Amino acid sequence: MSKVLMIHPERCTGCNTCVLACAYTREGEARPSASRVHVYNWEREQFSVPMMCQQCDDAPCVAVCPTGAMHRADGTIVVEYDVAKCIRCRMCVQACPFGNATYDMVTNKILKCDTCAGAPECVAACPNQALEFVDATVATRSRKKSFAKKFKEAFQEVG
Amino acid sequence: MNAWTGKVIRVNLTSGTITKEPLDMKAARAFIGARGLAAKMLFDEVDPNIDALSPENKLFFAAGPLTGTFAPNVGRYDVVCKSPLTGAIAASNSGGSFGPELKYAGYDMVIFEGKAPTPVYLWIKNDQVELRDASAIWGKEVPETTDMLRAETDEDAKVACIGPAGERLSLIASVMNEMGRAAGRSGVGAVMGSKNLKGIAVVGTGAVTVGNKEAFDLAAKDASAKIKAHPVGGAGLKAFGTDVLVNILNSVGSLPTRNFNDGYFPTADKTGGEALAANNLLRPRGCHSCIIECGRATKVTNPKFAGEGEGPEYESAWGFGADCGIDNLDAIIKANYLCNDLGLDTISTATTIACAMDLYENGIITLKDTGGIPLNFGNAEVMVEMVKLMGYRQGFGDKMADGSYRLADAYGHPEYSMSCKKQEMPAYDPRGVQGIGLHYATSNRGGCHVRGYTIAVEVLGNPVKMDQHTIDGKPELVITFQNLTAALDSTGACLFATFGIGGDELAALLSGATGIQYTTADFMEAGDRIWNLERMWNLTAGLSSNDDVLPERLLKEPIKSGASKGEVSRLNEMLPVYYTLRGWDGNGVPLPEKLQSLGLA
Amino acid sequence: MRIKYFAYLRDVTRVAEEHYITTAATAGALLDELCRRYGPPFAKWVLKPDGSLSEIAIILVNGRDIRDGVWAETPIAPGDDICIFPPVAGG
Repeated sequence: MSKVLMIHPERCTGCNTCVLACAYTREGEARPSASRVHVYNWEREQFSVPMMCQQCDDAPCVAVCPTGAMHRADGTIVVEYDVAKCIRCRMCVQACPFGNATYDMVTNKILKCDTCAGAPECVAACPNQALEFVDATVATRSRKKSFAKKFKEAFQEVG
Repeated sequence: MNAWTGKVIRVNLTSGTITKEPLDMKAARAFIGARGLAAKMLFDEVDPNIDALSPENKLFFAAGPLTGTFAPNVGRYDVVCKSPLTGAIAASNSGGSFGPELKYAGYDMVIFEGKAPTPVYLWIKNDQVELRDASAIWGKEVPETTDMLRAETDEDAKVACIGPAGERLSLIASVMNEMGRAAGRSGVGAVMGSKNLKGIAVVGTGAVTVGNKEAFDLAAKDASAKIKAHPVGGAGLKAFGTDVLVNILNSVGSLPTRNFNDGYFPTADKTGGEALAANNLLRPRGCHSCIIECGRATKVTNPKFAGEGEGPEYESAWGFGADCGIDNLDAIIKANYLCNDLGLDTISTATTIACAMDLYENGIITLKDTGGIPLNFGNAEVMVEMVKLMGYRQGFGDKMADGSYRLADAYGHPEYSMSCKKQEMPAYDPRGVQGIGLHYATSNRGGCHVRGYTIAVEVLGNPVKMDQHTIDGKPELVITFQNLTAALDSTGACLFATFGIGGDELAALLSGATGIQYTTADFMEAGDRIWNLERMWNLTAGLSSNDDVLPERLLKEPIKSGASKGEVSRLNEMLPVYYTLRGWDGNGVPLPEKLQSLGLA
Repeated sequence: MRIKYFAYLRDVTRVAEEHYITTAATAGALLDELCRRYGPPFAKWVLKPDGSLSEIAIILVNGRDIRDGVWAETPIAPGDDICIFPPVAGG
């Protein structure tokens, strides 16, 4: 599997549907604090950014995990979490530079996006395509292309 | 306990005591939550004859059982109290994330009683609930208040607060949450101000559970699919916002223009959703759990009216636009931003300015009264300036800050106030659309469109089309919409969910979430019960059938131009039919057997 | 006649209104003509998938909604004002 979660903040409306989808489908209840994705809102600017694990290649959470609970299977992109091996030392929580691994007191485990085994619920629920699950190699193609288009237009105007 | 959290916070501001009570489940079942349940508690606890701005009034912040669940478009709460503007029951509904956060903190509602000796705010973090000093925050506008409350509590707290208008007891002051969302109508912000309550900050990390997961999941999936498949719920509102209605209402000749002197505004297109999307829209916005996204993040670059923020909705764009004879969209948006910052209701603020312009153009008020400000229709700069003066009660703004009725009445001409029960009517001319006029006249909170939105049927043709000009079938239509909306509001759902779903789907969601079976008939009956309870409260407060009226202008002066030229409201033909169908006597008093059947006797 | 277009339709027509000369005698015939002229991006908002007129598009002839009368059969004349809205709403 070589797909990654792609965030498009410019499309995000701040509706939290992804948050509810994650918490509800994974933990069985509408509890945003149990979500692996969180949406941060800037109310003055009316701008929102969803945040979740980016599945770092050289992942600090994996590096610090003393038991191998945070691990990556060979040849995959996703950093997986094995609750059975976890000793709740929360080193991963401290190590993640993005704050995308959190400890949940209610379920006594680490919450970190695992892309729902390749079928992320947040992506399915997002009404605005602000979250996409795309091939890692083409993830930024559309973004590059849209900027390239702006270049093209600018040059055409000058010409 | 499912869907409901089963807990209520009661804050006595006079003594500073905070207690937690169990929710009355029998009442919750019958009145659902939010608007309905808070109305029932107000009915039981508050004498309708009190002064609305006295410590005897109570202020309810109430979420519904669906609020916070993983159903589509259920992010809302109501602010309920006696209205200082109308003297009737107030229930102002707002979205954003404040209501859901209250539920995640573990509460269905917060009740405020009495009056704090000095300014305070309430800080709720799950079990921990405390009143804190707000002296340093008093006087601040809404965005700064929000920032300061977050700095003192939690950076992610959801904040509801009042601005300068609420502090100054403006009878058209709103309660704002998350800076851009408003419990706008009926002066609920003034009641908050009268209690020295500046704001509420809440953080909740708990869950909202559902009683029958299988049934709820099915109902939520079904509702979501239906809203997404609907051309309006699924795409139209996101693309153009509610302001797309400007051109529709104008084209059918029912866009109230220059304080309802006409029903057609030739240059309205400059202020519609199309123009907004083309010139000012940054991106659509959605409340918690919303899949419709009608919110507008907008920006104005024109230096005269520059700013960035939320809005406008259709009613605001109409009020500051056509109703003031203004087609400058930048000015309209700026006025909307100012209302959000000052904590003013956009509809009442805009239409009070329109009323002042009407009084001015007819020589009833002069430059001497206005402090030298020429209040002509069409003057965009003056319109924007008046919003500021109203928010701070400065100069002539002081006289305008209590709404159009008090303003016009002070000069001996209440007939210039385009209001019902002293609350300003919104953006649909009752002369051009007959059913909405009957709704305005009978609405329990006065001039208001969102409690019986017959426009869906009379103009938009959703889910069916009726002729806007006929009165046939309109009393039935109004009653159905009023009952459905009363029940819907009480669940915590958004009215726009009805662009996709109806009573069947809402009853299914409510049943799944609560684990208590509500048939569609039960659901509609709950709406009828809530409507009648609100009516009974209003009657005890001294309102009567004499208040189920429209301004004379709408009954006697025909629309002058446009597609509805020549039309007047035929309210007086519809009203007796409405009373009979409601099970009320000729004076609009619910008959004993009606109350008996609803369990209200 | 004068035809005004709103919301999404303007993306297709590129004009907010136009003076239009037609031999069509009914609203239905006019809309068929406009759907041919502007193609599927226009038609998808006013026609149902089966090609019949959509009940939720708002089509006004001189400010009167054709759904209140004889709908597609509503007669039209050269001096008429026509408004065409795709299904949109607000509140």
